[in-house]
Amino acid sequence: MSESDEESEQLQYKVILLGDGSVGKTSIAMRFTEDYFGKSYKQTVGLDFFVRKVTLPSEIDVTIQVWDIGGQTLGGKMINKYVYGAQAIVLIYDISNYQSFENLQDWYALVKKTFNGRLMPYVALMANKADLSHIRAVTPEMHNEFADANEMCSYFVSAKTGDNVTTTFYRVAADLAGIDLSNQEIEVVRKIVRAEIVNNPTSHVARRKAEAKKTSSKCIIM
Amino acid sequence: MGTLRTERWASNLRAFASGSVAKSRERYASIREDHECDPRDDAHSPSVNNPLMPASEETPWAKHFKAREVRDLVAKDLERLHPGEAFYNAKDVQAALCNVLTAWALVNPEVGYRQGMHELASLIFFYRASDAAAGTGTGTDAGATHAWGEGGDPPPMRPIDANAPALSSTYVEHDTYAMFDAFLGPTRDARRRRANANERGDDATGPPFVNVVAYYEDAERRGGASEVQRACDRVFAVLDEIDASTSERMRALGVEPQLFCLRWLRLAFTREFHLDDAARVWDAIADANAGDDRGDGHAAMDFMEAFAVSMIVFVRGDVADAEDFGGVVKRLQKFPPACDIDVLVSRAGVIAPAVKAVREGKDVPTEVLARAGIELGIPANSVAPGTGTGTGTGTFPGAAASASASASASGSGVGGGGDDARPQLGAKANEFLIKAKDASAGVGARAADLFANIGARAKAAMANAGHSASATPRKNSGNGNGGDGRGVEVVDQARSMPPSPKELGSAFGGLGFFGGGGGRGGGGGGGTPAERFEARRRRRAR
Repeated sequence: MSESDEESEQLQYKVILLGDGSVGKTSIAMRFTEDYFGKSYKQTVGLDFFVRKVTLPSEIDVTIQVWDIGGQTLGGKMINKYVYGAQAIVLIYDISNYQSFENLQDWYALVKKTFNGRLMPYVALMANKADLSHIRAVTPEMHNEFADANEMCSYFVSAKTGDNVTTTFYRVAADLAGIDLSNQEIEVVRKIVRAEIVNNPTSHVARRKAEAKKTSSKCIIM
Repeated sequence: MGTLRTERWASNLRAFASGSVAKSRERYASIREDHECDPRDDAHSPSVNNPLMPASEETPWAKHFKAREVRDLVAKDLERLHPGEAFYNAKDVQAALCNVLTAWALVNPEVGYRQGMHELASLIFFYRASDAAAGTGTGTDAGATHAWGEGGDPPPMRPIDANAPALSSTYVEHDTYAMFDAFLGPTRDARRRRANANERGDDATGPPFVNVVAYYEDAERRGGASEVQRACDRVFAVLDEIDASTSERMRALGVEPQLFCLRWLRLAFTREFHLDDAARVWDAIADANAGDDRGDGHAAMDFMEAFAVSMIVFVRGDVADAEDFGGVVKRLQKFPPACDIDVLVSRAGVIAPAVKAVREGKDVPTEVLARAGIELGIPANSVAPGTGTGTGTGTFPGAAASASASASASGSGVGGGGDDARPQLGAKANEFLIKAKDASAGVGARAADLFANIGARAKAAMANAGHSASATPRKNSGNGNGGDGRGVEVVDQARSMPPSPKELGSAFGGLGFFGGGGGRGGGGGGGTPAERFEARRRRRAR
């Protein structure tokens, strides 16, 4: 509200979730905005809309609009209308479903076409269902390769356990606002979200790879 | 009521071919047999029919693979049908719905199965099964004992007893297909086929027909708008006409109707209300279909789009109060459940002619706007005093209550007095209209018409109009509202909204504006490659 003394302008970001049906877009949006995980959601027909306010370091309030777009139900032209004007686009796949990963090529192509000739929004690659690593169909290497090739920031999350979901959006918001987050600050968010942190082996692999690449990309990979 | 719900649906949707249930059941069985034949049973030699032949050939194997693909797609969606509700997740119900949807998709490959169709079919199925179980409809069903929703296998597809009653638990699946097919109506291709040649005379009862499938169809041409987009534009155009201040507010915040209307229309409102309430809306949709006097099959669609308008108007107070884009979209995507569905239904009936006019590219008739204004209690904002007031109140007896009258005006006042207001519109009204048109004080003639048509009852309605959706509306019934006096609501916490000059200007500015902003024709580049992409993706997904 009005606590921000001199910061009169409200930062607001439109973040679009794209990806195949049942990769968990709605679950991610629900986890982030309401910290809730339902076992099963009805298919998103058209669009669902979520909002959450977060406070970044130095008391910067940011409103994050999450546009959860039905994976199957929209014609190309309509998707265009939704995607346009987004500050960030999160491409989501399910690590246990290879097809959902491969189809991100198409989803990404759609984004590029929509922004053809204009400034591209921030694009992130998000692997969901990281808790299902025992039946994974997409390796972290494949994931990183895709992210690197397209200069995307990359995240591994689980809407089910809550792992990394909020920190991811927090990071996206910080990146958009041009704020550097220290690891410590990330930890703070993480702790608020979940007391217990599942140690996800994939994150380590990804992180190690990321350390190596850090110089070339400004994106933070976790 | 002698007829049960699905009997009424079936008859209003003209679901059963030539009115014969048995014939329709037979048809469904043969569709399934045709598409689900086991290729191994086929008598053809392997040179004509083997699984390794290209899928493009119309071989039994190709058919088999295609059917399996569609079935898998449907089954995947059915897994997520009404999570947690036992009936829909019972094995027999799931299997039957899967059969129905797969059959429909295979018969209509140009559209195929789309997400959302499963929810439409499930609603029909549920009520058909309930009616069959109630067994109080036409005839009784002594032999059929399948209790749907308790698991196991569905009853066998055949034999079909020609003498079985219309409501039979044995044939719930068959009948669901017929009604689902009728509710979706003909696809674009089917319409065209029907128009070109008068073939299919035997199973097509011809228009009028519901055509919900149009909301699922992609744009016909590259760069063209899909029907559902057009429908969204119509909803906005009608809103412009009858509640300009709300549409103005939405446009100002960038809230486009497709953000919420798409789901409303494709799912025929089943997600926005309790299923019982949604079924009430469907009753009205089916009724509209039966009452289609034009025969072009749009009456039910007009009603649906009008219903969408009435939903928006219902939460106009929240729309006005919402801080920003997000607030408005959330309100519309999470529609308040507390409302009396019959109010929305009756309002939609009044608005439907406006949708019809917009669909046909005509001006919305003045009397339609006036009726809508009365029914919805809108005028407080859109048709505010301003220039018209002086003349208006003078001209019409009983129109003294001002728009800004407080909400304390008693509910009983609404019903009385106003019913004879409209018949008085005669020479005096015309006189007023002419004056108002000459007045040229920024008020369009249309607005003047509207204002002139609003009598005492409308004024009272204004005072009572439900602006706040956070308060639970009570329907003001039982005051002897004669004629069409339904649906005027008293809201506990109604706010009066005296219009500022700016609002006035914008309200009137909105009148006569036909959806140009909605992106009907324009809409930036890139649409066509995106559509190609979409088609490719769908093909892959199957």
